[in-house]
Formats: sequence, structure tokens, C-alpha cells
Amino acid sequence: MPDRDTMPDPMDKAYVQAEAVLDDAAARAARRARVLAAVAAEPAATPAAAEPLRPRRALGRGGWLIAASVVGLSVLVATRINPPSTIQGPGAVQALSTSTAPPPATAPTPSAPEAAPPPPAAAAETPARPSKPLRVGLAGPAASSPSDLAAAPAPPPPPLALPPVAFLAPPAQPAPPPATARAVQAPLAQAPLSPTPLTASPFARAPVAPFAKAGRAAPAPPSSVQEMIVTGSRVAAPTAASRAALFAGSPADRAERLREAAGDGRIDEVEALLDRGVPVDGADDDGETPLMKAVKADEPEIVALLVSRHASLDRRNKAGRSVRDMAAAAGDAKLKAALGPRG
Amino acid sequence: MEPDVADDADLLRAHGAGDPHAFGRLYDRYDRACFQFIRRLLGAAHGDAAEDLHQETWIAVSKAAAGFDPDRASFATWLFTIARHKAWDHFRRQKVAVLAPAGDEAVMLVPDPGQSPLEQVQSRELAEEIVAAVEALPLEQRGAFLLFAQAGLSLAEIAEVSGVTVETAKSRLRYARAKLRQALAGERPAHA
Repeated sequence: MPDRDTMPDPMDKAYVQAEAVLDDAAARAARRARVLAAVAAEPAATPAAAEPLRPRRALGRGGWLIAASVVGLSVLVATRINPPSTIQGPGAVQALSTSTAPPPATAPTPSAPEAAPPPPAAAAETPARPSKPLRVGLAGPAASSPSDLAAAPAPPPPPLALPPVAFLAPPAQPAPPPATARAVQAPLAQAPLSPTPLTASPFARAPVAPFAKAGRAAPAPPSSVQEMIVTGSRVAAPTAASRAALFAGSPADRAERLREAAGDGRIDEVEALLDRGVPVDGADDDGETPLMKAVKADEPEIVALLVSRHASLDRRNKAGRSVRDMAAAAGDAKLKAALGPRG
Repeated sequence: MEPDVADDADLLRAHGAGDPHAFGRLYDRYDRACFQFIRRLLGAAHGDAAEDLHQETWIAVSKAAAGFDPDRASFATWLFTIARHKAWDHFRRQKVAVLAPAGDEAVMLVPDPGQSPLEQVQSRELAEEIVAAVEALPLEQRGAFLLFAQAGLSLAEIAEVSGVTVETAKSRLRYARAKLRQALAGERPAHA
């Protein structure tokens, strides 16, 4: 016996007829022209063009700006402390260790021939911090190759002071650095510090931690810095590949990505994953759903989004706590409002 | 005139490949159902936004065409999922509380006339009353009804679009029809 609910109903027919009576062909034609023109005005539906909204929205939230700032500052600090000439070879180390004296007029090392020597005045003022690398750091992504860096004019060195960064400590590398390098690092580590807006920035330490954690005494050489810049650029401007990566893997992978995005405040990713059909209430091993993650992370916008997509407010994690419990514990009026009348 | 037999997914792919006519053909297949779905979902209070949301929906379809996977869902399911999200996002922006429909068993007691009192909807006035009755349905029930009656989606597809189980979708549709019968019972004698 067929299920009546799945069969057409007289009410269905009545409604369709009603819409047909009310249909305005002229308005429909105008709408068609408008919509198709709007679609044509948008980038074509190619994988590469499917992304233009994301960078703008992400920038709006400041996420990519922060990422770019971190990369830029890491380049600045890295090149400030260990300029290209100090890590390219023994000759370069020698040049740094003797930088209290005016540098030689010739190129410092064969391994970094393009790197312009620091101006004598700069070397005299800040012996361990030649101005050229600082210039490179400030140039950031605009300088795309060592030759570009060398070609950049060397302005007078800005009077920057550096914080007592962790990677100035003796390196944990198996092979200790040459004595000349250590001789330079010691005075650097003890140098008097005067905070500047840059060094006082909360981001100033951000790039330092990975080096220290990795037990590395110095940041990556210029080639790696370039790589970082390039990598950073990729992160800042997601491509179709990054979107594909967002949706890649098993349903469990996507559910995990949704939880992470919800907990990290990445609303664009949350929305994209939900639009893609990722279950809104997919729980992790602790029984925590994306909504719980968002509540715990105090992300009212994401909470509102998840609630609008019918995320459960009643589910409990393995500790027996529901979203309502978590929101009540947080005591945040915005969270409470985001949960809506059901909360 | 030759019937348009191209598959929806093929048209979407052709659009992605630069076929200037493919998107128009796809649009023509779903324009009415999609617009009416959005328009009725928004209701009279938000009807002015229907044109914009409808356009946004199609732009989203165009932009995300490369990511459409016909193995996961039909184009219609995908399209109405996007359209529904656009409407919900609109409500969210407008801070409209989208209340979950409360169970209203009473409406289920309205006898099914068996035959529609509105078999022939010919007058504009009656059509407007029917549409108004649809727009007065609770949002989720309205969505289920529109997707079934106008868009022709199956219960499974409605469930997927709405993010609920098939049973829930079925229940919403049943409530919606019952409420419509109740609301329109006075229009004409049930067994005229």
C-alpha cells in the first residue's frame, strides 16, 4: 500500500495552480535577464574562480591579516638576527663577527655574492644587525628572490631594538655553531633592549616560538624565508585546492574539520562545510559537537549559524554537559542570545 | 521543439567549461520553483528580499559549480539546499527567530476531504488566499510543503535539504497539508 504522504495531494495541486494563476511572465523574464547578467558578471565557474569570496570574508575577520603579520614579522626578525650573509657559509659568519669594523668593500662571501654588504655607518651603529637584512625583512613579500633583495637600495638603518628572543639562546643543534657565530650571539643576547611598537607587538614573539621549540638557534635561511613568504601567500589567498582540501577525506574527516573550524572561529569554513552537507551535530570522541566547540570558544556568530542550521541544544557530551550548560557556565549574554529562543 | 534532455550536472559542467548557454538552460528548469520556494519561505513580511536571495542563490550555484558532486546529491537537492540556506541566513541577519514548529496534533484531526475543495483554482482572489495560507504555515512545514508540491522533491531529498530525517520531513509535510486543509476549508464546501 503506497504511503499517502509520498503521493501528490489535492492541496499540492491547488497550490501549484494558485502559483500559475499568480505567475507574472514579464516579471519572470526580467528576473531571468537580471540573474543571468549577474551570473555572467561574476567570475566563471572554474575551480580557480570558485573562491573569490573567501579571501575577502577572511580578511574581514582579520584572520589572514594576522597570518600575514606573523609571516612578515618572522621574516623581519629572522633577517634582522641572522641576515643572509651569516648563514650562507663560513665566510659570511666571519663577516658578521667582524662587523664592528667597516665591512670589506668587496662582496662578503662567494656563497652570497648578491647580498649587498651593510653600509659602513649601519655596521658601526649596530654591529650585529646589519641594516641590509632589516631592509629585506621590511620589504617582505615584495622581495621575491635573493637578487631582488640585493637590488633593493639600502636606506639608513632604523633604530630598532630587539626583544630577548628565544632563538638567541645557544642552539640545541647537534653541531654547535662556529665560535665566531657564538661570539656574535652573546653580545646580541645581552644587548640593552628598548621596546618599540614593533617589538612590543603581541605578534613579535609569535614567529620565535617555532624556532625555539624546534631547538633551532637561527631562523631559516633566505631560501626558506622566501618559501615562507610564498607559503604564506598561499595561505592568505585560498585556492580551489584549499577548498578541495576542506572537503577532502572521509565524512569523519569533514566532521572533524567542522568541529575545528567552529572552535577556531572560522565561520567561512563552518558555513562552507555545512553547505556541503557535513552533519551539523557530528560529535568527537568526547561527545562534543561543533556547537559545543563554538560555545566553549565563545564564538556567538558561529553559534548562531549552527543553531540556524538546527544544531542540537540537547545533546550531551560524555561528561554529561549540554550546550545550554556550557552557555550558562560561560555567562555570556551574546552566547545566550545566539542560542536563540531554544537556548 | 526538441526537449532539453541534457543532465543538470552536464549543464553545470558545461557552464564551468565556458558554455554561454548552459547556465540559462539550467536556470530555466528551476527558475519558477526556486523563486517561489524562496518567495513563499520568506513570506509577505520579507518578500521584498526574494529577488535578491534568488539572484544570490544562482550566483552561488555558478560559483560553486566546480564543487558540485552529482554522486552526492541531485542538482535540485543542492540548489534548494543553497536557496534554503540563503533564506535562513536572511532571517538570521534580520534577527528573525526561526522557531522550530511545535507539535500541533489538533490539526491532524481535521478530516481529510478526500477531494480538494479547490480543484480548480481559477480566480486570482482564491489563488492569493491559497498562497497566503501557505505563507502562514510554520516555516519548516512550509519549506517541506513547497519542496514537495512545487519543486517536486522526494521526501528523502527534502530531508537532505532540511537536514532532518525522512520521518521528520514526512511529518512536516503531513502537518502542512492538514493545516492548509484547515485554513482553506471555508473557501468552498468540502464536498460540493
